[in-house]
Amino acid sequence: MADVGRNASGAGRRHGNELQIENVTHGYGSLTVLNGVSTAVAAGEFLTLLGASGSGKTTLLRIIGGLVQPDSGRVRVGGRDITNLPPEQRDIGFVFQNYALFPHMTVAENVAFSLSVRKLARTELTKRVEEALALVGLHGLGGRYPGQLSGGQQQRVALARSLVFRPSMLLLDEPLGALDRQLRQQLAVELRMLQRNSGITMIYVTHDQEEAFTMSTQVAVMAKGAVRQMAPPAALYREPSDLMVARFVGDLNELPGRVTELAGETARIETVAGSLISSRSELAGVGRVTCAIRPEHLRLGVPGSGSLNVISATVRAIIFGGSWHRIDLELADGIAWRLEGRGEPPVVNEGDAVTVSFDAASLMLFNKE
Amino acid sequence: MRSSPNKAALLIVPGLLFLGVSFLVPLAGVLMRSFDARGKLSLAGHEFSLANYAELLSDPLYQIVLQNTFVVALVATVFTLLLAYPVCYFLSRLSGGWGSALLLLALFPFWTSILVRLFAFTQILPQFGLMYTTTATIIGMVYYLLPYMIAILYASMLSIDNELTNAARTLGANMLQALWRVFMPLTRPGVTVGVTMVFVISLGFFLTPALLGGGADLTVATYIQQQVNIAKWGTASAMGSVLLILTLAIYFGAQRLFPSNDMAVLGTGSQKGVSRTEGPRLTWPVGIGFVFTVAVFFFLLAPLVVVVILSFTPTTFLIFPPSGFSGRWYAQFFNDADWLASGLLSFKVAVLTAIVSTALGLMTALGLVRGNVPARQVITGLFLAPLIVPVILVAIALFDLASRLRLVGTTVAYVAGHTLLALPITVMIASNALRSMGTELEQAARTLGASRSRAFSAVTARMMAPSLAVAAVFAFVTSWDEPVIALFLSAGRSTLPVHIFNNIRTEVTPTVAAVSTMLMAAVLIGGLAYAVLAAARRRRMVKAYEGASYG
Repeated sequence: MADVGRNASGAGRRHGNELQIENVTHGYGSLTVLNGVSTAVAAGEFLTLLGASGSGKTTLLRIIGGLVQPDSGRVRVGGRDITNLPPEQRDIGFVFQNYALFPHMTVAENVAFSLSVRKLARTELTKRVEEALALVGLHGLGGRYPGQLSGGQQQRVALARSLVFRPSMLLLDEPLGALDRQLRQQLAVELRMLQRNSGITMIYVTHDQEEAFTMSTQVAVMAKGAVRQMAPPAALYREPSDLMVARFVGDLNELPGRVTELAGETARIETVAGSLISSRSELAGVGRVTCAIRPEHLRLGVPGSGSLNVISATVRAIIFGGSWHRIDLELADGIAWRLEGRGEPPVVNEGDAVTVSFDAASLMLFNKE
Repeated sequence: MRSSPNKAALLIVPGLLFLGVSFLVPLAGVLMRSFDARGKLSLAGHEFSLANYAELLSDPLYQIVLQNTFVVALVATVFTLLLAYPVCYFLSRLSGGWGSALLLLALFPFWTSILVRLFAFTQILPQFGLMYTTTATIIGMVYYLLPYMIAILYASMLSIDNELTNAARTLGANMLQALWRVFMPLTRPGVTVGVTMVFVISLGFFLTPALLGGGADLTVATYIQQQVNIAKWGTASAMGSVLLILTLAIYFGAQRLFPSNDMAVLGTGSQKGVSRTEGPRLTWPVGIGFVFTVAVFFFLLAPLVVVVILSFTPTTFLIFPPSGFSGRWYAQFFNDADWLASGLLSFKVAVLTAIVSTALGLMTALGLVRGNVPARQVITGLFLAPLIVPVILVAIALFDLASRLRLVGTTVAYVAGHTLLALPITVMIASNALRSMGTELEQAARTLGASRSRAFSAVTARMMAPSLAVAAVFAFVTSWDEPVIALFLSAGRSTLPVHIFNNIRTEVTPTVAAVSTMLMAAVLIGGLAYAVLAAARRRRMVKAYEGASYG
């Protein structure tokens, strides 16, 4: 699928196009959906708009595609203002959530649609349709109707249909949402390879953090009609800008506290579970904060050095998941935490009193929201 | 347990018997008459003859009648389609409840008695010098046909996801191309069904040409009625047979040419909330749809408003606008024994029809859905047949039978005739309800210890109650508004629609306008009552649901 993919987009585009969104707002009646969004995407990126339902991510995508008019703000591609351009003149592909395949046309006719409205010569059209179908692994299924295909196959047709006219950019609105988990993971990897090989800019909408991390070079977390943070997946996970982003991109153990001492980047926080040290205080001011730590950064017992933070907890449940294990803990005041590790769980029993330790560098601090 | 499917199948027997006596036998009688040189019906000494059909072929008058019927039907169908299509496009693209609310408004004439509608046109068309012309017939027909076409097209367009035309746009199609290559082909099944149905109804039109058309505008149906009136059964029955064969040929031809499952019109799935709330953007197709919608709604509703205004006229003749305001014609209705008697007769017949056809429909549906019925498709088709056969034919066949049995003008005859028309509807509604329900809940009740009859009454019957109520209402309205069969079966005592028909034909007093207004008010009140009850029921269900999940 890689070869034709490269063919289908043109290597020259890789540095040419850049999407710019400037202060875009949109509302339905009294409901504000987008609250002044500004962001920019470099050519060749795979950007995922990640957010819960109602965060405005789909509306933003539809504005880029020209299916929704923003109330104010501009959309530029390669410096050119396309805000008022109708969708058919934007040269942007769109993969719809339910694929929106034309049920009265065969697979081949669906894929050929964009070429036939562009009045491409018959032979060239047939060749391009076959290439596109081969690209998505549907060679030989051109004569079927969409209703005769499985969900995964329909998804591939939708992808082929929106790539065949070699758009400058491809927008995808939760295209894997209707598929089962295994197929979703497989297609996500295929999509990532397709994008990396072709160099086409893709913007992808999903509420699934794992999917976003699998594919993206950049992830923009959206909430309440605004982009909260945009960064590559690893940076987003390691250094979330606020508590909401931290929660959205992975499991999180939280504990309310109060910063009592601040020296350089090191802070001391008083909590119900005792006094804690964080070396990441650049994220918080003084006063009330939320301490947060990822489950994989917790260790059972007290190791030799480095761990400045030790708290006591009660084991509530031990879950063995094959290659991983998880221990549900209860801290003081009934606060529930979770510890995750690789392989088999350590020898503890439910109800045991244990100590849990973690590094100062892994304790994130966020201002109270 | 094993024998139960076949015991259930026996439930279709009463319905079949009824169909046999009041539908198949009389129709067969008409067919036999057409093959008798003198149009006589006698089993003994019956001579097979094609003389009537030979006459149809040789006499140019018949060909004119046939051709006239065809052309008028075709023109009316085309206009109906052209008017309904943009309206339905606009309504189906509206967001929220607006589309369905406006649809109900468009369907208001459908619920109004056909005679009220015809009366309106007898008052309006003379103003434009169009009365008693072919144009008048066509206008009246389009008016009658529009609600059917709008209902069918709207339903078919509603299932077309906006996302499909959006997809076409992102692939490079402009608005027109998206409509032409994606939206319109997807409406083809709906258009086929609508055009077939409307054209077939058009072929059988009787009252409209009889009241609005000119003397020269004979249609097959009006011609048949004239022939029966002068007891020329031979030509009447031959003509009727031709009409029947044409009708059936069109139905089956349409089904063969455009099978409804010729393509997989599925896989468009559900859609996200966001695309619904976007609403229609002001594009020019939506603009054209809007203009058509306003015009068509005016066409559909203005005549009825005129009737209401006319009903308050103080003069003894109808002029528009009225010279004053008076309720005297309402009082007149209640003081006139003939009007009152026909109203009471109609009510009695309609109530009896509702009871009989709902009971018969439920039994038949149980037999068809739950029983192991042989040749189920054929038998189901047989139960729906009275809807397809032109009413004029059903009417003369019933008249024929009723005359032999000396039942003309009796309540029994009216109820039998109207049950014939209502039964297909009640069977369909009850069958759909039964099918959508399945047998699982009833089986669950039985595993909990309920007997077969207890399980049926406690679960199935209670869950079907709303559907049966709807079926009964449809049956009531079918009978209440039915003019053609009642016209043929009336002798001395006439039902309300027949009384209006006779009144329009002879004297036209403003009482007709008053009666019409009351009929419309009844529909409006009934509709509002239904809406209020349905809303209350929904609220109750929501409350019950919330109570169940939180309490």
